[in-house]
Amino acid sequence: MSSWLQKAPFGDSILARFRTSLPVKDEVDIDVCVESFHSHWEQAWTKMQAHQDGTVAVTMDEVNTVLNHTDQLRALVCWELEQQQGSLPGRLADLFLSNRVPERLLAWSSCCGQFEPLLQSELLRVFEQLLRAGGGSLLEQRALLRPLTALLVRCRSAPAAEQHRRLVLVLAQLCAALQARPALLDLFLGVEPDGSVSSCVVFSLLVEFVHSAGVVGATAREALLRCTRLSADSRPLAEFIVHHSDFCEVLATGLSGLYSALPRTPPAEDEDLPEVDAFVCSLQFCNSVLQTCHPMVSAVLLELVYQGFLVSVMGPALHQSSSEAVVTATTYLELCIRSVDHPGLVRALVRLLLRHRHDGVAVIDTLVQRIAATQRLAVATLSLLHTLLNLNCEDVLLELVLRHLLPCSHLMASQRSRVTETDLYGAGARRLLSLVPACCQPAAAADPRAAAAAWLQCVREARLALTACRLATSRWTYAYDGSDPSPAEAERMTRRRPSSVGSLSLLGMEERGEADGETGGEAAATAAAGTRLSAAVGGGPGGSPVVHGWRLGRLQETGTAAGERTGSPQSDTAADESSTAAKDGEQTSNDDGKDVSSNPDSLQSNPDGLGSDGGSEAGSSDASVKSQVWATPPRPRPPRRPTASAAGPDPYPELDLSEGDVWATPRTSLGASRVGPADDTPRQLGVLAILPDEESSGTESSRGGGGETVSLSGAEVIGEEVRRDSGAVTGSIDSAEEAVVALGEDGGLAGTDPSLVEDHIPAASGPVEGSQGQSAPDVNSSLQSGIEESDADDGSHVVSLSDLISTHCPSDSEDDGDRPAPVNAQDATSSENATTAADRSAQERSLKPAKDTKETVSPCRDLSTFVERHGGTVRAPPPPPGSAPVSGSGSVPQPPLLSERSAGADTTTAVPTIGPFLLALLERLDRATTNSLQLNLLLMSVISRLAHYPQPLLRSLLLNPTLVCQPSVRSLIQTLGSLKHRIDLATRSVQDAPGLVRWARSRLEARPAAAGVAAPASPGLSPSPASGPGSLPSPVQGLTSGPASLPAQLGGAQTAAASSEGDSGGFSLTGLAGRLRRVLPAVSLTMENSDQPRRRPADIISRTSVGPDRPEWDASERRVALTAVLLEQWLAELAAVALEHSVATDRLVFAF
Amino acid sequence: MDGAGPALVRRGSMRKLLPSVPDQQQQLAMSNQLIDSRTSSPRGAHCYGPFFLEYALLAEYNLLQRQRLPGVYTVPAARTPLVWFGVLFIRQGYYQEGVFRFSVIIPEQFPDGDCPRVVMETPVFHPLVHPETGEVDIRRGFQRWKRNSHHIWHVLLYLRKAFYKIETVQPSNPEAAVMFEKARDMFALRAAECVKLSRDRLMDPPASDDPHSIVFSQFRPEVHEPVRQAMLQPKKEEDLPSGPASAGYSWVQPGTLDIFSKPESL
Repeated sequence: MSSWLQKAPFGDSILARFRTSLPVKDEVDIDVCVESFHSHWEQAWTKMQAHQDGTVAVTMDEVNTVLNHTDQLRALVCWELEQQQGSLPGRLADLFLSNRVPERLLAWSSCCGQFEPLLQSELLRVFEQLLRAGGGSLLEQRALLRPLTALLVRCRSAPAAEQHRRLVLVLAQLCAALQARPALLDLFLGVEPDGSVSSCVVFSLLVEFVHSAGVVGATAREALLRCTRLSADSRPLAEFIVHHSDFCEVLATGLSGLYSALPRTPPAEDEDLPEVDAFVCSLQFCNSVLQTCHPMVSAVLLELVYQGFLVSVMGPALHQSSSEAVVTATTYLELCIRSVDHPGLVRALVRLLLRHRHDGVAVIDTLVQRIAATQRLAVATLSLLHTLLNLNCEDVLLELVLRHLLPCSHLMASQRSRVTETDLYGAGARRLLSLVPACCQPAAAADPRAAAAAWLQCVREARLALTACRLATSRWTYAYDGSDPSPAEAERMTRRRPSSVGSLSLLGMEERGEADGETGGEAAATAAAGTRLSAAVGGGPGGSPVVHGWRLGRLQETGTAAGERTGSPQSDTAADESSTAAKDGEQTSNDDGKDVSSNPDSLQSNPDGLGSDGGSEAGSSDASVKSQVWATPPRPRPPRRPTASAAGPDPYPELDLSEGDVWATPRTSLGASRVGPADDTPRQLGVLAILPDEESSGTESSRGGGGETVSLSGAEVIGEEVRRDSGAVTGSIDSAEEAVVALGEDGGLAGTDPSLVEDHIPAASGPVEGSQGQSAPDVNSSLQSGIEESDADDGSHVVSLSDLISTHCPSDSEDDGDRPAPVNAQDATSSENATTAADRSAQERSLKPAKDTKETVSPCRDLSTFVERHGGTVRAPPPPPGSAPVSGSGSVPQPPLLSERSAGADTTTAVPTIGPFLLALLERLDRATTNSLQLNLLLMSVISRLAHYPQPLLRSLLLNPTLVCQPSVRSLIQTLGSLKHRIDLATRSVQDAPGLVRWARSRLEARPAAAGVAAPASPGLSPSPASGPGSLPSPVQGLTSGPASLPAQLGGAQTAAASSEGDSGGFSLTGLAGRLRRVLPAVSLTMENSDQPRRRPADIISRTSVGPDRPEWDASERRVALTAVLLEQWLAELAAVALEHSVATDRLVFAF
Repeated sequence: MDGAGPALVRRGSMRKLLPSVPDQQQQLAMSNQLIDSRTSSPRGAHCYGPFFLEYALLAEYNLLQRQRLPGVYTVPAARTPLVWFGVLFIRQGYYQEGVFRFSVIIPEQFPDGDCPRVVMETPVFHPLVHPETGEVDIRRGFQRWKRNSHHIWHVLLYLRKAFYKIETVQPSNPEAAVMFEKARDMFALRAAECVKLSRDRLMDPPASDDPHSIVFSQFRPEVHEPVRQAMLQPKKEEDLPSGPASAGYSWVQPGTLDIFSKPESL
């Protein structure tokens, strides 16, 4: 005993803890221990009593002594607790408690002045060890419980970090004990007279540490998880968490906070990413909480995360004005999706994408449009979409693809029954393989065994992927085989949609209404949408609470600054919208809202009425809203939307449009703006388009409505047209000579995006910038200069510019609704002088012949392409979202031309379409020879991933070459065919084509070495929450290219940039490398078949490894060759997928 | 018409003499191959070719499985996809209770070549079964094998039907045909002999040493009963592996096409 007393001085007490942790040997007689206990306690108690009155200051020495003695007591009790597992306290514990050791120590500590924190800290340690040793057995003892709770409360305000650590450790032990004995939970719940739980010290304390760094935070989170697990079975605890704790708010706002701390640019490869770690960690904690907690808690938490983080932070982040910021945000969003796997959280994320409208446009529509954007943005977007597709989520596929295929309007009527046909003899695969570019035909990969092995690998991966996808989608609601649901059913269900959604179909409001309704908020989910809107609008900023009433109330409750949240324009789009609308004028909005919402059906059935009345009203209000938006400088987003919609009313007089189209365009833009009804407008448009006789009045009024917009933004309209024309010019060259096209596009592009130029290439921006405002001939000249510049210029920029330009090409994806990159261009445009408008349009017309030439010249384009291109020119801006965006791809010059189809819209059979997503993919694929390698790889992997889905509607469209589509619908095979044709044309004249192809092969094969990646190929079909924090650069499941590959990816990006530039070996990297490093999205590439070493690295070509290449091929030739080789490999992959589909069966399960 | 394939040595020379018909088909097959080699990359031509054949056969087999032809069981040989082992259980008619082994032999050009052949393993006295080679005259049912409209399960269906409804026109075994027409009793007797023979030789080791060749053994309760019971148990759907990893998501309420229309279930 005395030896124990010779304890080290106080400063050593931490060490002492270890030394004395098990001081009592097993054989020690319990009586000796009791004796020892008494002795220690006596001495300690004597010391303590000496200072009870507080008159004499306690000395360090005395504190030390007391602590040493109590430590011995603690050790004894712990020893006993570990010896006996019984529930009753043993003799020592009994002594410990009956002497009220903890209580007295606590009392004494308050007399110790400066030593109080120290004593508390030590006391915490005592409790922690007792709990650790005895589990919950001692907790039932009041003599322990009371001082413990008192101590916890007292420590709450303690500033010392050390004390925090101790506190959290104790809490963690407590939670562990509680989990072992849930019955003890009641001891920690402060119950009100009415039976509700108003406090839970343990939980509340832990919440304060949830965002702490390091061990403390980790321990606290772990402990909290135990609590939330407890809440699953304890309704009182769950109620406490929901109603009296700010746990959910802290988590949600924490996410927002951590998100805003993330680097604004995709981080460089070797950067340590503590912010990303913290964010992902927090997100995964949310995920874990959701997986463990009571449904009540998860409902609230999800709602808060959705509204407080996703909608108010992530949403705006995806719509920032700077392209780089958008790229970064897209990458982070992808990271989010990869990091979670709780269905609710996945649902929230997906809902943000599919349902949330930012400025009236569904996020997903924006994303789809970004496929046509700059290379970097397109890469980030495609990567995100790939992740989305990997979810095997019916809603995603329905919205992106299947909704547009359900009516079977893309097929010739006779073909509809063939959708489910099995391709027994590999016709699809053969056809795909036949599309390998001619220059790849003399297989350079001489070793047949290696080729066979590669092919086998392809097949094996395809099988795995297909099996997983088939299994994952086996419980989808529908089969999507052309009969479940049948086109008629699909139409019926789509028709019914607005009413089934109830009155919540107001744009922007719908989301909110739904959200509120889901959470049972009293924000009148059932109220008429019109009322809601007007209420929100009428109240102005004050009206927001009506919308957010419930949530805000909660926030206020918990002390969050509700006002601040509402006030901030960023906080919530809906708030944003409503306040904007309010400024705009209550009257208008009210009218509009009521008009639209009160009788959606009448609108739908009576296009006339809406066209004449509501249309113009909506138009004007819309326009003014827009002007408001413009007038508001601090708005984080640029007037992208306005511009986009302004582009809608297309005054282009010579277009072969039916009036219906012209009419439709402005209407859609209105609908897409902010006040229009989400679903009704497009449907109505559809109706109109098929009822030519109704058109005249509709057209008139819509023109009236759109007129405002036009006048507001005439400059943009013009700018838009100029771009189109430049596109047309490019197009004409296109078919004739690929290389020239590429340059032309570059050049033309360069002209289109001054803002981007400004951002990145100040040097180049000068001459180029002006072209935007200039007339068509100038476009030509800028095209010229572009050609010149493109070789010398910074590749990345030219690339992105070319993207922009091609975006505006009529042949390219639908007109911009709100495409971020184009946004910039439009930005610039919007500042333009409207006076030049007339001027310009005249010049455009002069350009028109070029378009015609193109039609006649292009040998490889059939009528449909041509039509498509023209359709493209008039394609309306994306329709309101929740619905599917416009898919104007196929418009026939005959009667009902282009009409809109959207989810909510009438899917009337007349409009053949495959939906904007597939269209955008195919159009981007069409430009494969100008895309960066990285972009091509992602594009291909996205299409491959789509091809994995077994749903017959999709599978047949992608892989069945014998299925006959409507002439205006371009299939994947057709697109590939024309790509092959162009590649063949381009390589025909190349000298030493085989050598060039060999060069390209070796170039692609060199990538693995450069990348140093060897990720096992596993079909990345499941979200892997396992992807730990900091996995940002390598988020692709299963295919993660390790961090090591990031530099290589960066290298690849350079190549990418260069490749559209010509991939010329002599390209100067000085300065560029650094910049790319900074701006390149850290997107890892996801070829499904990445196991094949030669393709895995996806984008990586290390410039240096390739070194000076043979100089006799120019840049465009090399680019084409790379594309050709890539295409060859991808076609093999697709062929394997097609073959596997032909033999895929529902699995037979034998039990024996 | 004669149903003889290259395996029949005796007819081999005749083929040379009268090459017209088969040659046309061969030409067709060859031109198909040519087309393939022209359209697909050469690399594809030599390394994908076998794959296409196997996939075609696998697809055929899947089709067959879906037909669930009563009393017909087949399994592809382990060593070549071009041979399928089969057993035919006859449940009524002259061959009632017969258990006949057969092989389906598929031409290499499948699906573009000739009709697959069927060869009985035990001698079967039947108008359409060649008395020496055991080959069943299947081709009479498929004058020209047409991909996409003819499938291997059709062959098996035809085979099965031949044992229930006896055809005597243009027989491979004229004796059997005549006997069937003229002396039905005798025919029935001979058929019964076949049945007996087939059952007697049922337990014999199969002619082929291919691991997939069908082997019969006595029912041993300790071995087979549990399996039998398991087969009789209806399979629960829940046995499929599922979970967050393998399961996709769907929030589409049946009856609607609205995303997120399903109530959030947690």
